[in-house]
Amino acid sequence: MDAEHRWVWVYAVADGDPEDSGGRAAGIGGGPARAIRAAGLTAIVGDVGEPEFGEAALRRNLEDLDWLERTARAHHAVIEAVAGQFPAVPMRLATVFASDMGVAGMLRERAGDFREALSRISARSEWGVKAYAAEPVDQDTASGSAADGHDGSSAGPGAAYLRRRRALLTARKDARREAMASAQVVYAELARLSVSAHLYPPQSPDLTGQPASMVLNAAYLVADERADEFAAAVTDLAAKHRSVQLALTGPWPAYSFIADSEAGGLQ
Amino acid sequence: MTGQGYDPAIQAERIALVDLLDRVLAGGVVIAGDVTLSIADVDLVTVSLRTLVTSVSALIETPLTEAQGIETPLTEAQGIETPLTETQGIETPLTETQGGAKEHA
Repeated sequence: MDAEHRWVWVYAVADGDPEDSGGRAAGIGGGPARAIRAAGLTAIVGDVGEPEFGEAALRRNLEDLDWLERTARAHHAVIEAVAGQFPAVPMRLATVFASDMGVAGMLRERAGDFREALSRISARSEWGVKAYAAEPVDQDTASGSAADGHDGSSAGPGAAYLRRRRALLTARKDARREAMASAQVVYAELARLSVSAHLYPPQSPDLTGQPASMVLNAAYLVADERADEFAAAVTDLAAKHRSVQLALTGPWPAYSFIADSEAGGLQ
Repeated sequence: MTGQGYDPAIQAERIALVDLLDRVLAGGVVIAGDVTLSIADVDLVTVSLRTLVTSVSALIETPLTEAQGIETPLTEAQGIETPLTETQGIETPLTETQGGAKEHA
């Protein structure tokens, strides 16, 4: 494969004939997005070069977090621009074809599946809800520790420290248990307002940069006309369940509601 | 995706990379293109998680990690502690691949 070879990166498949393919969002590698039409569907694609996106290069680059971040953000930017205007089914990162013909063939071959997925996500958006266990209060610090005056005198500061440390660990475990119970309730309550719900594994504190441990990482497919109601419910639940801190993200293109087609379609 | 009722103050915020990777690596349509990486989805996720683990391990101070009893950055993320996953029988897309990712890590 020579260095001039171009590959076709697929961002999304949209219904009908979107004129503004990808809008002004700079695509991967900075190149513009364009449209390939077949079977009444439009694939939003971009041209990417062999040096970075050939099989070996892609494999290598996926190991590079900076490259991965840049690429994921560019992929998302184009999808978001399209999905803001038309129902669009996002493709998983790194769906790459050798030619436009290959993409058109894929559209024709999978047209039924795409239509099914498009009708499922039409006029709906994805919302993310994460819950973190609230950090328990260190009772000794909070109450001034002086309440038990004999603490330090009889057993020494070491024992007091250990006792305090143990109490904190217990409190933390209790807080986590309570947070997980709240997360169950939150998850179920919000599921009632959504068309469909999906659970991701909780993210590691090392990746989130949040010291609090995540007890819920959910995605919901919500009808657009119920978006307000959904957001209000998150606020209500946050006020009701003090053992968790809730974070709402979105609206997202419906990334999380494509693969689990009930018809077994796209997957 | 019309974003009705959406708070623009939040929208302006930069999307967290972790949230984005959850979605672009584990969500979306999986179609075998011409560059297959001999994957479909599984290896790609594995590869990327390995990337994250490696990068994060390099950044994280070990004392903190030890104090929290976390062996690998993935420990928390493996879903073992989520009652939701088990009790509701809902499959999490990453669960299957994380064993593999850990082996590589």
